[in-house]
Amino acid sequence: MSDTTRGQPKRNFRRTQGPVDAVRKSDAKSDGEAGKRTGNKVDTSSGGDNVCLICAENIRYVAVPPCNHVVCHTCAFRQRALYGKKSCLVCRTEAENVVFCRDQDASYESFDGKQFAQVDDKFGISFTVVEIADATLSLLKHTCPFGDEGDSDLGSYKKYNTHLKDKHGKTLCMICASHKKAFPRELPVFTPNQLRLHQAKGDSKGFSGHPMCKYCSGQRFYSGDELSVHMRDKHERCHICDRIDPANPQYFKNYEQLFDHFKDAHYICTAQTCLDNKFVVFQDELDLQAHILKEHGSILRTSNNSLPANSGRKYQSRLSTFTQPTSRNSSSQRLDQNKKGADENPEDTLEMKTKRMHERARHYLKYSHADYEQFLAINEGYKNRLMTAQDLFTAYQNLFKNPEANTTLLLYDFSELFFKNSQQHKDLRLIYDSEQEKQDRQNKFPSLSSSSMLAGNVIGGSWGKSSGSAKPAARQYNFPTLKKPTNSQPVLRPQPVSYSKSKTISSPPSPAPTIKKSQSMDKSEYKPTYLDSKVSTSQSTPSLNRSKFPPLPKPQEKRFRAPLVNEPNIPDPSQWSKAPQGAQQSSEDFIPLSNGKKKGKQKQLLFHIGI
Amino acid sequence: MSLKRITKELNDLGRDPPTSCSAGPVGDDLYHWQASIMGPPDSPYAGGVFFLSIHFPTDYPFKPPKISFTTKIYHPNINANGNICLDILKDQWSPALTISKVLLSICSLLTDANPDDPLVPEIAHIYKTDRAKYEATAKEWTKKYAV
Repeated sequence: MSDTTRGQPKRNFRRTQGPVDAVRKSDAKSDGEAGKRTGNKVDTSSGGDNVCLICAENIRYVAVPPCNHVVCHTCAFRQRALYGKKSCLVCRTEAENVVFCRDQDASYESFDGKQFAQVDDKFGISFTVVEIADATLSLLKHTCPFGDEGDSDLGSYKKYNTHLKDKHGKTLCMICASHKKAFPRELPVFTPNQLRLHQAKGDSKGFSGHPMCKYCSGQRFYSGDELSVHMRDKHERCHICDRIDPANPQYFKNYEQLFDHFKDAHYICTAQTCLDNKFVVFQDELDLQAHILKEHGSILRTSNNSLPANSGRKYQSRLSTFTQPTSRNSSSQRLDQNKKGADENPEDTLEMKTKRMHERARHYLKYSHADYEQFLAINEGYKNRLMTAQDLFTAYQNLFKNPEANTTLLLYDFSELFFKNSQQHKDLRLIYDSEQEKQDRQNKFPSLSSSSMLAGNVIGGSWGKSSGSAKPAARQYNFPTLKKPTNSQPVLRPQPVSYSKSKTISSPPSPAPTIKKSQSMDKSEYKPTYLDSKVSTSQSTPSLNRSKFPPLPKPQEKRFRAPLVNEPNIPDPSQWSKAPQGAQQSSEDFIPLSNGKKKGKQKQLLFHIGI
Repeated sequence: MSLKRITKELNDLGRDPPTSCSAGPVGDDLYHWQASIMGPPDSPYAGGVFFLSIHFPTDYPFKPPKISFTTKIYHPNINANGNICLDILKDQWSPALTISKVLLSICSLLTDANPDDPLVPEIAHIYKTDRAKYEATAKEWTKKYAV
């Protein structure tokens, strides 16, 4: 049985370790509990008490499901009665029936064939003793906390609330009542003033009140989740603002208001079809122009004056009066630039930097407290100028014996804690830079070559500037391919990747020179050698070569003809004086179609003049 | 109810800290924690220290905690907001899971991204088509934001 029960949970957990393992791992106490049931108590973690794994309360009665993941009767009953789920709280295995009993070591199988004192079909619970059944089922009762009418059930939250109002001048929070999945007796009873405080600001730690919808007056929701569902269903959200700043969703009461926002802050297409379709709006003028050209090209051509109002210019003038949109415009450069725009973020606070260094150190020291104290002492020493940067570095190297530990990174983190122009910062940086260079040399730039393309696009050197290590970085990108061949053996992990790259990189260069020769010399003498070299390489893969052969002579023929082909292009410069006229004419054709696009057009005109 | 459980988790974390991550409350509000994860050595995030913020709902542990990265990270399952696309933080949550286990899961998500269920399709696309480019970018971001 233990095998089958152990197998089930694992199947359910996809990305975690199976819960069974997890339970064993973290809570030393619950060793035998999962799957095995060797007789251990469910949860004896803190102080050896029998504590529920879920709620951390002491266990009075236990719930035993078929998978034998024992939890307290309150948690199991909450799951079944309030959440309406029949899955195990630990492994999520569905179970029609659970046993509620006193014996915390009991296994589900031990109840086979036994008589139960009471069985509740609605919740699928079998009680071994009537007392447990009473204690469990009474959790659902709406009883007056002031002792009126004894233990009798008032029936529902509504009746319970009216009773409290009429008889005691108190009230429940009905939002909590309908959402909290709490048993009636767990809900606090408020005076009207307390209730207002509870709903508006929250009255306990971790709870900051029930949020209100700013468009639906007075309507509050249990939590932000419920509110966002409401906002999604009942109101409109600006998807353009979302793209610009996903952290601050912009909501509007209805589409009319959203449309006004579109007009003011973004670039909307005012063609009737697009207005009817709704949500045809763009982040910047260029996108709108592209859309107009693509979708409404025919309209533009036929009716020149119908659409000028369309183009973004009208809104551009308005933009200046709006504070939000202008800030948006400046940062609305699209995703990748958006990311770059967030470059201000890496300017972490000093607190963050300190925390980062400490976390790193603690991790390298394997969370050893004594070593960590020593680390702090060393830092203190440097701070008070009792030791030089070099001393600090050697002290680090002595302290951090863990091969995984990267002391230079620590050095870097530490240097960040000093002012940029302080001597201490510079000293640390000096060592960091030299160490970094040493490491670079050791690594012989293995994986960086593969990133050389990227480096230009993504890095943009901004990191290098801020960190002061721009020089080593630049060097790395200068010699990517040269170092490769020397690395005859893959020592580092990334190399296989770079290897395949280096092959592809190295192969094009070899044909390239031959092409150059043929181009520069243009002599028939070279053709045989060129072909020969091809033949020699081709011998290894004959089938491929045949296919390659025919195209090779052809280009050569073309090369001779090439000038002829190009000639039609060459005359162009001579006609340039005329060409601009043509271009102007064409642009004039366009201009009336979209007056507002002048900005873009001006650029084009400038371009022509420049030529 | 949730407070007792959260306190217990905090004690357990102190007694038996998981490798390569740590977590604890911000200030005296036990419902708001900050966590840190060391970039796994066998991933492009190696060397980085990533911070996360954790918010416990009052219904914890019946409802999952809300966890997001506060350090920028280039990953197909983590968006610019720091939101993490991880099943156990949503429908696959189990009340028996703890912060420590969730952090370990996030660690393994850093090592093995799940590009078939992406939160950022652009990154997932690069991850699938040009792995070297993905790794290079992830490394750069790590250098830039997490070192």
